[in-house]
Amino acid sequence: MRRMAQSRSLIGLLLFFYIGAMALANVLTPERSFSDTENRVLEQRPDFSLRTLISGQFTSDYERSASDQVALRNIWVGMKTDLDRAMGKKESNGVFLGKDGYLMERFTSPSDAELEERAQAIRAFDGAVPGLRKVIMLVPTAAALFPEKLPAHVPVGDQLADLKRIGGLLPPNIQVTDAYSALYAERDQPLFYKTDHHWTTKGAYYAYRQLSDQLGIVPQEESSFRIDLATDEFYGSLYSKSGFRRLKPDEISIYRPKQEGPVKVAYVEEGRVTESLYEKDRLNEKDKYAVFLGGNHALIRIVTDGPPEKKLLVIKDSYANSLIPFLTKHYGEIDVVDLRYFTDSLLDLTREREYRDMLILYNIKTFFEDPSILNLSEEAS
Amino acid sequence: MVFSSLIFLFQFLPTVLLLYYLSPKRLRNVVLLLASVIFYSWGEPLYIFLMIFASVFDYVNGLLIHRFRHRKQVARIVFFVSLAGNLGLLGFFKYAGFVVDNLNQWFSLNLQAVDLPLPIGLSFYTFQTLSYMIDIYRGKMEPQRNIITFGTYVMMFPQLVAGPIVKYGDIARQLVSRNVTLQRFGQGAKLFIRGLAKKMLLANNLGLLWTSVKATPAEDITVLGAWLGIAAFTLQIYFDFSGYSDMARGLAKMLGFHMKINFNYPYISRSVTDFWRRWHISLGSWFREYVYIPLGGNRVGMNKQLLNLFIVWFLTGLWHGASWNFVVWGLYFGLLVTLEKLFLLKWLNRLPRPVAHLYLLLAVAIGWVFFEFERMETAWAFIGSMIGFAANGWANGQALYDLSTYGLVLALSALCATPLPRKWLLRFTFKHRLIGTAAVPVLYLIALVLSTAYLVAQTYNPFLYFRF
Repeated sequence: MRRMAQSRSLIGLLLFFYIGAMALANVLTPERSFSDTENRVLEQRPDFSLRTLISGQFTSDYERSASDQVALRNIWVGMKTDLDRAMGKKESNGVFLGKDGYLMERFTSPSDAELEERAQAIRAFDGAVPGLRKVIMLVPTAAALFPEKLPAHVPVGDQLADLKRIGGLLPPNIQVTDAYSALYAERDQPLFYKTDHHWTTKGAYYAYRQLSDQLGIVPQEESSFRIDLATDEFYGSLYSKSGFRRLKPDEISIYRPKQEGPVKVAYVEEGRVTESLYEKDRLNEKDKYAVFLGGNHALIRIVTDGPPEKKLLVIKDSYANSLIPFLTKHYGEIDVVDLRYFTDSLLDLTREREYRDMLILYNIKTFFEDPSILNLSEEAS
Repeated sequence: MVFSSLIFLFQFLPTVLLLYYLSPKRLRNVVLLLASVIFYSWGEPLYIFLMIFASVFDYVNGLLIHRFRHRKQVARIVFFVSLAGNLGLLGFFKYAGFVVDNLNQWFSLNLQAVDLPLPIGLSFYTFQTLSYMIDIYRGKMEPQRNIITFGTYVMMFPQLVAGPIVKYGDIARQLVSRNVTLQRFGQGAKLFIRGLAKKMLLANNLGLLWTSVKATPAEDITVLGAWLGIAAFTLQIYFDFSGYSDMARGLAKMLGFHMKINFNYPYISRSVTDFWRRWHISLGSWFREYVYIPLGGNRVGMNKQLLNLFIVWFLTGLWHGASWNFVVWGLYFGLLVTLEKLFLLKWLNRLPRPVAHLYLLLAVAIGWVFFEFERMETAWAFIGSMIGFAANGWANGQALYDLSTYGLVLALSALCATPLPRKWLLRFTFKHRLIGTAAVPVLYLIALVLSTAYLVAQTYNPFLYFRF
């Protein structure tokens, strides 16, 4: 009995000193303004006012700042996901922890209405600029190409079927590039990052090779590139999103043509011009994938020493960023438009620049989950 | 404020404990009352005035009823005024919208209800003050003359938000003087940590599974999926609610109060009758003492008795929420209890134990379906999925995935819903005294640390830059 009493008293003291120590640690931890891991501004302690108190704003802000500013925040989060893993959980924040350290996202097949909406937008744009040759490529996600890396029994949507569904809704003059088969044929290669949702430069290269037929170009051999390792410390978006720890970082490599010509890259809206397709500074930041063309921008105009009469318009999401460098040899001018940011008239731009080819390049998930592609039809009507 | 939050755990609680124990004994109620006011107004900066009003109202009424105890007529008037006041508050804030909706539907009216949020803890504190008033009216107790002491009883932060419902008589003496020893404080700490771990480590995890199953369209649910889902909810609500009660009782104990046990391993029962003696005990005993027995209880004819049971279970259901599905849920248990009273209990006692256990678990799990689905059709559709009437078969990838990811959590939770782990731990500490003495605190510390991790991770909210 005496020992039980001792153990009880000990637990009382433990609790008291634990909450006291945490309280003290919270006071002593200096306020941080930004979290690298979560890539967001952290809540600061709010200023007190009677008005915000009555509305409940003060207490909710205060509570948010208390959790944002809690001591050892990242360590606690890591401990939680570790415990989750130990308990058999294989999913966190919509990200699966697959085999061999692969993080993969859930993909839900689009409804018929969503498909039709998007096909309609593309058809409308096609009707408005009939003379332009159009090629579309929707890239499957890692989960579709490597379903065996997913945890057992995870329901995977049938992306191949979805790609066929959308292809069937497009007019025959719009060519659909089969990125799925191209990547599937090389699936023993590292086509996707393990901690990020993007494809690797290698994955982009195989897709480029597949594109060449429809674009009427002769692809460059892989051996004509010098492959540089840009970084081997890349923890990507899925790593951040899931909070899973104890994973190996990814490598990002850059394919440089052995005979490299000059380029001029203009970030039109920002009014900035550089002479490289790569923004090396971004390798020091959290989202190192932004080394390709500096991330996403409304309009990037790339001028190269390729044939000047050949002009290409790319409508795209971030998957295109690592593929576009392969195209610079074949086109004298490439305009890269991200509809999520681009607010001007795409029709005006198309008529003014007199493009020869147009490439729509999206990851299948962004294509169906983000509504920006629908802007194509607003343009045309 | 809720117990399972970072500001409660690492700001409010250490500050309150420090102030409470540093102040002289006669000031401790004041400290506790002020702390409770802050605790409550943190989330409800306006409704605190409602609660203060209710407390003063009942304080005065209690004194008046006692003063006029020899003039029955006057005492009765005050009593009914106070009853009307308390039930009026509950009715207005909790049931007005429900009543108006039903009236509109029955008589095709178009009445507008004032859409006010429910004040936190209202259902709990009105039941406490009702018990106070009734006991004084019955002459069972003296009223509390010190308004601080009375306020402390009503508003005490440990039980304020979600019970247990503490009867004044059970705690009257402790309100005036209480002894605290480190050992008792430690007992409270143990209860609190246990409750926190139940909530953070088990209930919340189980909740994830149930939320995803509940959101699945009926035609996609398989038999396995439905059972996994309802098993998860059955365990979730137990650990959530009993965890909260444990935290409340633990905190009270750390402050020197003893509150009666509120959950006593309800899922090991072998009859619904037994289940309700172990589930939310303070509510069941409240209804027994203040509704069932005053109506005549068992000592009336069979018809009257059945009517009484109907009333009690109707109200028990309605207390859980202003919606018909809760009434159905209450009456469902009322029916089972009545059947058990009439003959079923005798049968159950003759059956092998596992069969009786199975009966109880099934009865409760099906009850939770009605508790969780507001609309009858969806509840029946879900039960249809459970017994295999749905078109989607026995199992699919989703259900197998859920089983593989939540199997361990479910098994662990089921084990923790029985007294076995405690028994094993006790036996272990008895056998290995020295290691045992050390092992138990270490175990509790681990539970505390892991709960903290879950608390912090709850707010992990990465900005998904890659989308835009």
